Amino acid sequence: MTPIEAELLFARALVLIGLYAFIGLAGYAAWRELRQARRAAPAARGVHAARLIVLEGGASDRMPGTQFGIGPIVRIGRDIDNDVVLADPTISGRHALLARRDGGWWIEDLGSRNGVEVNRTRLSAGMPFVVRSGDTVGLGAVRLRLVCPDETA
Amino acid sequence: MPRVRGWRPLEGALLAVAAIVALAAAAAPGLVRDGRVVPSDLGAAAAVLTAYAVLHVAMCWRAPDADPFIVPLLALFGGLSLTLVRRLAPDFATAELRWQLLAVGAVAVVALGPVETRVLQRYRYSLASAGIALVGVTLLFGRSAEGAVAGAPRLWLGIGSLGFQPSEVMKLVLIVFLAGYIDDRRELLSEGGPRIGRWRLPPVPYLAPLAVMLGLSLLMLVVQRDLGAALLLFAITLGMLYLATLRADVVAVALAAFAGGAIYLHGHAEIVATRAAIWLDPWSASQDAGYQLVQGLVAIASGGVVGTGIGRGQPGIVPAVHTDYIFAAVAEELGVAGAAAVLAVYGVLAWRGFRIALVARRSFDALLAAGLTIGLAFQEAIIVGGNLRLMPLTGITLPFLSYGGSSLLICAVCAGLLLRISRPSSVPDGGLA
Repeated sequence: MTPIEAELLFARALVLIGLYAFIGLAGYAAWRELRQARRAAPAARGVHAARLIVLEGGASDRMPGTQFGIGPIVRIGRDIDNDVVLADPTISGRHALLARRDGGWWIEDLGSRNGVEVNRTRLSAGMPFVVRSGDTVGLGAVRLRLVCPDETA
Repeated sequence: MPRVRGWRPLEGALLAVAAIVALAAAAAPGLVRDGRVVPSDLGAAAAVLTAYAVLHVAMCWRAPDADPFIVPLLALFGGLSLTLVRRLAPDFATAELRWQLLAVGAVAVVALGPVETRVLQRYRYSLASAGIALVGVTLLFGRSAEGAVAGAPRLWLGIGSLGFQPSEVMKLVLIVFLAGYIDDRRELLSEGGPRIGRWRLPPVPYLAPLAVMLGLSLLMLVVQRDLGAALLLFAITLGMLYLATLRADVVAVALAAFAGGAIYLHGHAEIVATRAAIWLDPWSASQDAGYQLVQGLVAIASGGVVGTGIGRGQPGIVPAVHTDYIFAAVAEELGVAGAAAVLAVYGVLAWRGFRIALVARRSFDALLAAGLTIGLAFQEAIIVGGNLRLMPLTGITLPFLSYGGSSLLICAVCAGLLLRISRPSSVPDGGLA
């Protein structure tokens, strides 16, 4: 075998082995992702329902740590017919809608004056946005955290 | 001064593997031809890889949480494409390098630039009108690819020597439009449509775009004879509508219409009848209509299990090997082992694309990511299936691997959009919205 043939063989081997190494790495990453999801799953099957925890109450009488148990459709605002009433001047009468859909929680700004933020990013009014367990939701001066034990992440 | 917010070790490792593959592949043709490694071959590959490495660093800085697979995957395909095209179509060697570098720029601008996907959503109807206008202009003023035989499909628009294929742009416009259109009509999802006897048809809003797209595809097919683009646009429409509705009857209606159209065209459009005939029996026309197909099959077969090695095969015999038939070149020089690996890498792309769609925070983003993935996956399946004679051959490019300026750029924009959607905070403050 001449040196050139040896070099060519080496190049060919590198190309093929490299391609399979790439796929192998991708497969390993996929396996790790699945394992993480499986580990998190059994612990998460709690009996507790989803809830909103107050982080900052603003000028309302809601103290930090207050919890709201929530159903599949949650109207949030200052008016007393909301499911979660927040009596703060920065909160609009009908501020936001949090709803369960397609296996996730979606929050929608109902055209509030001071807007809705998820993890400090402002949403466009009328465009639902996914909220995951552990996310903070900002409404005016009030900040809430969504906790749903039946969800990983 | 912003700091680097996160290392992306998986992306770095994958990028290193991609670099090894690309550089080893780039060295091989020179060894075969001149008995030494040609510096310009390695240099071209190194330039593209460096551009992707810069993009990797930029991602660490600006988008530490974005998907780690897309950039290495682009680098891998970009490097392979560069080596194959430079050897098989030396006339396009310089242009290929320029397009590859432009593609990296396009990914960077789309993924990290200031324009949010919300902007696409807002201008969905403007984009769709522009896309339809573009197809109309091509119907009137389109021209054939340079050097093509007289009577070849007139799919190109251009000024002077600059040309592009509007059907590529149309693909992206269609995905953006459908994502916006479906997102506007989510509430109708559970409703039924008009009744015919005991049959309840899918809701009209879902049938309307299908009918329009079917009509537009047929028009493109009959007037422009662009079989591949027509099939791809129809497949994207069907795929996205199925994802949005999860209704089998939508698929059934669409496939019935498709079958009807195919049978009708088989009798009335010469190009469809020819393609079907050479698909069923390429050997009896092996010197004329079936020449490309037969040469492609011979190339694939001569690769064997591990291939001839890059630079040692003769895939250059196959007509259009650098565009429609690049997969035959891969199969001949890397063998079944390499071709299967390349298909598996497309599988990784599809997996990541649908995963990005699943975890997207806004329904428009989810639909857009799914649509982009469907588009890339279908395009890959249609042309590889055609090359392997699993289905009739239609002339479209293999995403990321074929030479083709507009095709490569549009695929890069698709990849850039997937990267942007994969950033968890896809609504950063200060973005253009």
